Amino acid sequence: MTSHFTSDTNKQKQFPGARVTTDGRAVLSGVPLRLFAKLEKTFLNMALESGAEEHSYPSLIGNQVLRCAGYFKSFPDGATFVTAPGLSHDCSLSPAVCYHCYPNFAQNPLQKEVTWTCQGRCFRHEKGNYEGLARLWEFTMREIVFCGPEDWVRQQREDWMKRVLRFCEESGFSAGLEESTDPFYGTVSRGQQLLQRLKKLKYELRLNLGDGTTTAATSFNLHETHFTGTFGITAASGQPLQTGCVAFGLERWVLAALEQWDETRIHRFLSQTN
Amino acid sequence: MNATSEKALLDFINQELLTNKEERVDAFTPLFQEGWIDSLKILQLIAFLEVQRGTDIPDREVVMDRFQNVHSICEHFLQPKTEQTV
Repeated sequence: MTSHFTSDTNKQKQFPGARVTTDGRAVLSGVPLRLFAKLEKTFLNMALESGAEEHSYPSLIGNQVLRCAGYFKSFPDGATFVTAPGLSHDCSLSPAVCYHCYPNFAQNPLQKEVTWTCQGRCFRHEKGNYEGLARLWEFTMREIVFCGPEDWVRQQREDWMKRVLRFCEESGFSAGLEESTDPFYGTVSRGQQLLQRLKKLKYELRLNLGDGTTTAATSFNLHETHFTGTFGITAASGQPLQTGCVAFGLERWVLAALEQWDETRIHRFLSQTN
Repeated sequence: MNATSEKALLDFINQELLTNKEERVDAFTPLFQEGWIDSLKILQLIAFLEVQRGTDIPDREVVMDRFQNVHSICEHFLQPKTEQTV
């Protein structure tokens, strides 16, 4: 058994109840699993309190959706393809939960702004570059996805940044917000990163892991008209729409709690009522 | 402000980057809010500026207050250097 679940000892400490394979799969039990469940419930409640509508999606996603989203162009080696005997269409394991939402938004012209929340397993193939709970092939993401006029979407992101920072302060997470960019690939990757930073399209909440290292546990993203354009998302009013999302990497939050908190603080957090 | 630099940059953007003849910017058109410049064009724009000024532009200098419009780009990146006095 242990040969299948060898902990990655290179960069990450080991915690009882959190085993990670060298190819980036996590097995949680005990305190890490309770932290995972509590954090997930906390973020779901935050989403519901903000007025988000809850949706559930499968891990599988059609490649035509990812193609339409531009995923293969931006991250050509990141996808985990799925095959099965007799499969007539191509599928992947979803690299982010929000990709499921955009084709749904496009089904009918939107009558008003929408905020959806969904949680699911996500898969990003990192060619062996895994780092314990901080970088997994398969991980869990809770997302809040917005679609509406530009100013409204920007305001949602602002509100979420404040909301999550307040949560960190109240629960005792040492964290900081930073402007960031995605790790694009291809000939215009530098251009994409420059534009992302120039227009402040991406912020990350980085949680401290001790000895000067941090992990990006939540990202706050504006997509401008990228998804509304490519998926044909429209408003009944004819008003131009944009999208944005907030994405929580749950295993990274668990890791930060294990790194930052002592037993007393963990117990206090776990015993709080949601 | 060097008017020659500003005109050269406007010509480059209007003639080389904006291939649709109906698309034209002036010195104060917001280049990024209005979506004139995409991820390929920003690389071409930076390459043009680097040739004009003869030095590289590090990524950390590509920020909105400097790239707001043609006027602000010229002010920050194509301003003739004043001679230092001792």
